[in-house]
Amino acid sequence: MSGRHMTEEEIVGRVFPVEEGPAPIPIHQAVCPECQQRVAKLREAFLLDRGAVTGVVESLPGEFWAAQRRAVLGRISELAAVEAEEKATPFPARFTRSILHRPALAFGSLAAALALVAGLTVLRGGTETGPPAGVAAVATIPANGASGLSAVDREDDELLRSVDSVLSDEESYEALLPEVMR
Amino acid sequence: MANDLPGESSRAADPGRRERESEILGRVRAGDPEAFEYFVKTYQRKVFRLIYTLVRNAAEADALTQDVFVKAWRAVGDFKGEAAFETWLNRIAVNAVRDSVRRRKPVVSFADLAAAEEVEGTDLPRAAEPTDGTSPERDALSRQIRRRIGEALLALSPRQRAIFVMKHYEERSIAEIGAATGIDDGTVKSHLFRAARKLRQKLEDLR
Repeated sequence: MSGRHMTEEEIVGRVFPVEEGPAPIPIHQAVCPECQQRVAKLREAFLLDRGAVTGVVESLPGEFWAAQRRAVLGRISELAAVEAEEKATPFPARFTRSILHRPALAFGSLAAALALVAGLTVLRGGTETGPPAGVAAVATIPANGASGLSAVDREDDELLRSVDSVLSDEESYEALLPEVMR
Repeated sequence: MANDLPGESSRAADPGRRERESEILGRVRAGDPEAFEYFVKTYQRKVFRLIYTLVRNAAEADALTQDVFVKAWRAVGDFKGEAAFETWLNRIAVNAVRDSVRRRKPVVSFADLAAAEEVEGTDLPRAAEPTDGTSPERDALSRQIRRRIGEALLALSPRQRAIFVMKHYEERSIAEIGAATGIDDGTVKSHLFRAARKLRQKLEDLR
């Protein structure tokens, strides 16, 4: 007997060689029936597996392939039609149509626009108006004490007044909302 | 020289075929989707076989094969003809399988493999199996090892599995595999070596 038995790694390497072309047979494998059997067993199993894969593909009926082709070409035709339509439709019409086809997007956009308007109004109006009559005024430090406030406190004071102002104008915002959202 | 591109098999680099395919691609690019049927008809079996070997599920392989052709049609403008159309399709197929595996992270057990084969009727008829016919016990053992190989393959990373399958099941050259996976020859060999080592670990108990 020539040398040691082949390792598992060597057996796998014999059946699944990395390099292309025929590899020389190790001397030990050539003379050792046990190692020959181990290599043959793995190779046989691999060939069975590869044969089974081929068997699956070859056993599929012609109708399977025809149906697959129809499915692919159907999807492609649909995509081609959509692309052709998009090319033919001018941008504003596309945009309007996409909005109308998506009510949630339309309402969402409206709500976002209203929130933006409200936010801007708060920022601008807060410095000009004080708390109106009839609305619970936020307790603030009197003007004569303002000189003793820090800059942060003054900003907080202005923010609170702005909130009061918004609360008093709530009805006017509601008028902007669509009927269903009031 | 007819075959001067990396990753070209002789059949893929057939000049007549390349010329014909180039002409048909022109029609597809010009907006004739029906011209694409040529490519589906010519390559659907090869693409399906590659994908099936990788995923071992006929329904999934069918769905992914369809996706590959739709993706190819959408990206046909990007195909420059530097490689054969088949090599380019293989690349799309390998990427599609990789993405699919990443999305679902399957856990396929030995039992699942056997059950799937029975349900799908994908087992080869015994008469068609390459056995030596000397012993039913030996045949049974081979079938068991075969299933273990399938299971071990599914445990490889998607890229290693694709490289291993292309080399040993599809019998593609290292250069072809490199072209289909977008990696150089040395890296392909390195993946093959590591895949074989992992297989060895998975099959270690089989003596």
